[in-house]
Order: sequence, then C-alpha cells, then structure tokens
Amino acid sequence: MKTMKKMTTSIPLRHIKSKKVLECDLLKRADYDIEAVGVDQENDADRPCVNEKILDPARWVEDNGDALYRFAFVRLGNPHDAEEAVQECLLAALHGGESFASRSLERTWLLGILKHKIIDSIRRAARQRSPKGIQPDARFNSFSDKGFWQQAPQRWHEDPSVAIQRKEFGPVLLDCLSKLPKSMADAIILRELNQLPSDEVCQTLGISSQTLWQRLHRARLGLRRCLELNWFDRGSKEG
Amino acid sequence: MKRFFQFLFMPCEGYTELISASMDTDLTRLDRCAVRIHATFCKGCRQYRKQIMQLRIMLRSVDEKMPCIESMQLDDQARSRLLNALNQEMSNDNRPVDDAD
Repeated sequence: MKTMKKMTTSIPLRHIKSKKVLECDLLKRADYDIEAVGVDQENDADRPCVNEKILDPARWVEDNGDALYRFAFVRLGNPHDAEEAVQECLLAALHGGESFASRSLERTWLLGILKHKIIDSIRRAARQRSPKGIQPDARFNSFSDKGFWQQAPQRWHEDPSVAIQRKEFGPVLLDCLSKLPKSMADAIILRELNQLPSDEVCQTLGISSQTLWQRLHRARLGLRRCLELNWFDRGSKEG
Repeated sequence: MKRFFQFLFMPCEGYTELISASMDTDLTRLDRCAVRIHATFCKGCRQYRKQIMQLRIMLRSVDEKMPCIESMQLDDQARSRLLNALNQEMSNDNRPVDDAD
C-alpha cells in the first residue's frame, strides 16, 4: 500500500479572486487535533485516499456522512440544522483541495471544518434571537427562597461515563438538552461539548462573562436535574 | 462584616453558583474556603459537585462513547440531497483548468 504525501492545491490561493478564497483560509485553520471519531480503525484508517474525492462525492458522503451528521445533530438539536451544517461543511471541503494519507486524517479535517460551520450556525441563531435578560424560570427553580435545595441531589446508581455507552441514554441526553432554553443550551454545548474556552464562547454568543456564567450555572442545574429524573434515579427504584 | 456572615452561612444556592463558576474561572481564596466549609456540612451539595464533574467528563466524551443511534444517521433522502448539492457545486465549478505553478 503506497502512502501518499499530503499535497496542496496547485493554484496559489491568493490569486483566486472569489469568496472561495475565504473558505480556503478557513480550511487552513481547521483544527487538526480533533480525534477522528467513528473510524473503523482496523480497516479504513490507513487506507490512502487518492484524489478520487474530488471526483467522487459519493464516497465522501458514504464514508463520513453519518459521523458528521451525528456530530452536528448532537450540537444543533434538530435534523434540519444538522443537515445544513453538514452540507456547508462538505461544500467548503470541496474547495479545500487537500488529500490525505489516510481516511482518519480526512475525517479529522472534515470535522474541523464542521466545527466551524456549527459555531457559525449557533452564532447566527443567537444573534437573531431577541436579547432578553436572564428570566427566573419556575422550571429551573431548584432552590427555596432561603436558598436550600427543594430536592437535594441523590446518589446516582451509575456513573454518567458508563451510562453514555448505553444505547438508550443518548436520546435521553439529547432530550434533556433540548428542554433547556436555547440560550442556555448553546452555552453548555459550546463550553462542554466543544470545549471552547469561556472567552471564545462569550465572543460567539455576543454576551458578557457574567451572563455566560449565569447561563452555564442554570444549564448545569437544569441538565443535572433532568438527567436525574429521567435516568439516574431509576436504579434506586428498581432496587 | 456582612460579607463575613454571607460567607459563614452560605446556603446551597450560593454553593452551586460557586461550584459552577469554578469550572470556568478561578475562585477567590475566600470563595474557595466558603465552598470547602459548606461541603463539610451538606451532603446534597457534595453529591451535586460530584455529579456536575461527572457530567462534564461525560459530555466531553460524547462523540467517542455514544453508540450509533438510528435517529442520528442520515436517511436516504438526506444522503441524496447532500450528493445533489455536491454534484451541483462541482458542475458550477467548471473553471479553467488549474495553472500549475
């Protein structure tokens, strides 16, 4: 199996006078440190990808479509936005002109592009929403007037890192995320799922640090409570 | 003086705010003390802190650990929409051939 050297596009990008230049700049910054996910390590990872991808979008969609879609769906919460993000990602990648020595590197690169597209999508939606102050919301009122727990957190029958590997847990998690108000969900997704530093999250959402911390706090309270109700306190009932 | 009493008698709501803040920024020394003291007496809050930390670890591993779920896969229609968009873009892209060097 020949290994291919990474080739760059032969057109000096600065000479292309179109908005596609911006896309290519973006691609150069795409994160390379994201772990490739969902790659069949045994068979596919090291198989070289020849320039075929330029001519064979079907293979791209075949190899990466599901993984990209899932990545987007978890973060955006609905099929329409997720598909749109994947489409924008693949279209941008088409102009990237990169080819890779292995499918796992290709997947990593595509995920990097997708991450940026998702952040763009979240940023757009956040800016369009009419800004309102943090409203106290009865659903999320975990504390009494004096500041004590209405219902103190109980011992969980299972570690969340074990639960995530169960097939039934994924939908529960996504459901709980969808129950959060969008502003809170965005904050926790960018901060915890995408692991962006706080100041970048603030920049993306156009909010101050104070606002961000408030939203994260409430999101954590709400998410924890929702998961407890729908998953983690089952163990004690079942005995 | 008031701050001192707030510090001594911090209720659970305050504790959870500080714990959440500590996940994103550094707490002052005073706040760190208040947190430690409160946790000594409050089992619910100890559970809370443990669970929040566990949730953070879990959320960071979602992409690798969550098994494939059907509702999170592209259906055939979505696949063909994507392919069409790509093919469309490629045919729009009929620029003159690359000038090598």
